[in-house]
Amino acid sequence: MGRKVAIIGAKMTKFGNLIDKTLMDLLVEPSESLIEEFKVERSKITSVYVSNLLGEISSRQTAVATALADYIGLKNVAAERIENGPASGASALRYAFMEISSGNSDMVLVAGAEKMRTAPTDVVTDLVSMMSHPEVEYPSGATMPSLGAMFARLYMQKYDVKPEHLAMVAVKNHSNAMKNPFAQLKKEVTLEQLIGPGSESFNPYVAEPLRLYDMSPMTDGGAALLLADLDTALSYTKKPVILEGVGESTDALALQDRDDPTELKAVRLSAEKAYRMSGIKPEEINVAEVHDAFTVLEIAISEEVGFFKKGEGKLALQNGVTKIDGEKPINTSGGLKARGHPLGATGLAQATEITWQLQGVADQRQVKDASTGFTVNMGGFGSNAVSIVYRRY
Amino acid sequence: MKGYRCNKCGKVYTYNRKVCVNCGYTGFSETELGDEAKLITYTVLYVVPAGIERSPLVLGIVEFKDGARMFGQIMTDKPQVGMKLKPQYGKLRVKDGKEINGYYFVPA
Ligand SMILES: [Zn+2]
Repeated sequence: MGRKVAIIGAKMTKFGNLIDKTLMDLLVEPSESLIEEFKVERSKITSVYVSNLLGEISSRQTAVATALADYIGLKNVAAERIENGPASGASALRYAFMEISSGNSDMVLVAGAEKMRTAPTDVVTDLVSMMSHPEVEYPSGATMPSLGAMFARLYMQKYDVKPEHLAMVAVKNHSNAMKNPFAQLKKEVTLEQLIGPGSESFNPYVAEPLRLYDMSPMTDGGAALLLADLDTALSYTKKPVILEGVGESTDALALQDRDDPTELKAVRLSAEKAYRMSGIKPEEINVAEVHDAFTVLEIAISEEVGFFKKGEGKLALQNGVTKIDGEKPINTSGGLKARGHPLGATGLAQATEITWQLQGVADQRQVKDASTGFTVNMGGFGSNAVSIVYRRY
Repeated sequence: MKGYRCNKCGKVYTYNRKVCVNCGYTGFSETELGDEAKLITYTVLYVVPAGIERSPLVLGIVEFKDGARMFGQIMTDKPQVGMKLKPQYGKLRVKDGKEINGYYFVPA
């Protein structure tokens, strides 16, 4: 094993409909805010990774990492854009981890951003669906929600998960987002509103069996983290957060080609790799952010990453185990569902929430005495996943 | 419908691959799957991507014999898991101004 890698700090922009902000604004603001707060001499940062998917189309921009280095005055650094579908953010962190762990850099800036609210919905839906299988999914009109819905139908049937369980995820995550000043959807919802009689107008079907409130929204937003080897990190903060384990795995690209389409094997294997590297077990995790692009995913992922047995995720949810004050708080930020899901920034927003939780600065969302954390960021619909295990120093 | 059986692990695909995603083997044998498929999961999609002209659009995964699966458009207003379907060839969508053709499914 190489050197210990630690997060010095994490920042994010408000998530939402940010028409006045450019892609560069969303990268520069959290990055500059880190450099200012920790009084970092710019020459100490030798490498920059930027996670972003849609820059070409949203902002007529490529090579955004070089642009960020230029905008914030990082001279003669390594700068690269990372694209791994909606898991780009966690992938960018993985690159930073490898670079610092191996001794190639002492301090690395990772920033991610997305502008999703500029183009019309059907165009963004098409862009996002380009990560599906180019021969057997895309030509028929596959979208991420359609794949999520076909998964949901099989998973719900196999494990007797009801629409009210999906609605419980939305209720919990909307409620968490009310406590998060950076979240996009600031609105409490009730089970009655989501699935009660006459709920079809408030909560219409988008991709049966999934409804509007089962979906993460389209979001503009940015996030950034500053990482360093542990010794360097300690000269900037008393509260570094250590990346103890990082794991990534792919699965068959097309949902149809997976032997059991109700399994999220990439999620499970990435988590197992991260746990193994960290020496921390799933039962020892105090707080987690998981990729709830669709409500059903929060339940399925909570099982795949080893928090609950297969089929018991819904019970944990129902019994309040995954609430902020429960035994295994999940998506305290509001998750992709309510904090928002700006593709390239999502993995970094997850890492930001865990960083704040482990630094004890999550305010009203603070999980008491949290010392270990976990994130899993999914790329494609289950075809790729990146898991990270964190520990408070 | 033509199928492609991996000569090592036996997995059957409804499309031609160079390498088996299941076992990494590179040899396949063509096999006839017939024209009868069963719907194993589906969605009715109300938010369709640019390039798709039908809304709502029914999408699903069907299974032929030997477990060969295929994703596609399902031409019915009343989809049901287990229903019997057969493939038909025709226009699926438009991409960059060009028509894309392929198989979709209609009730058998
Ligand atoms: Zn094979």
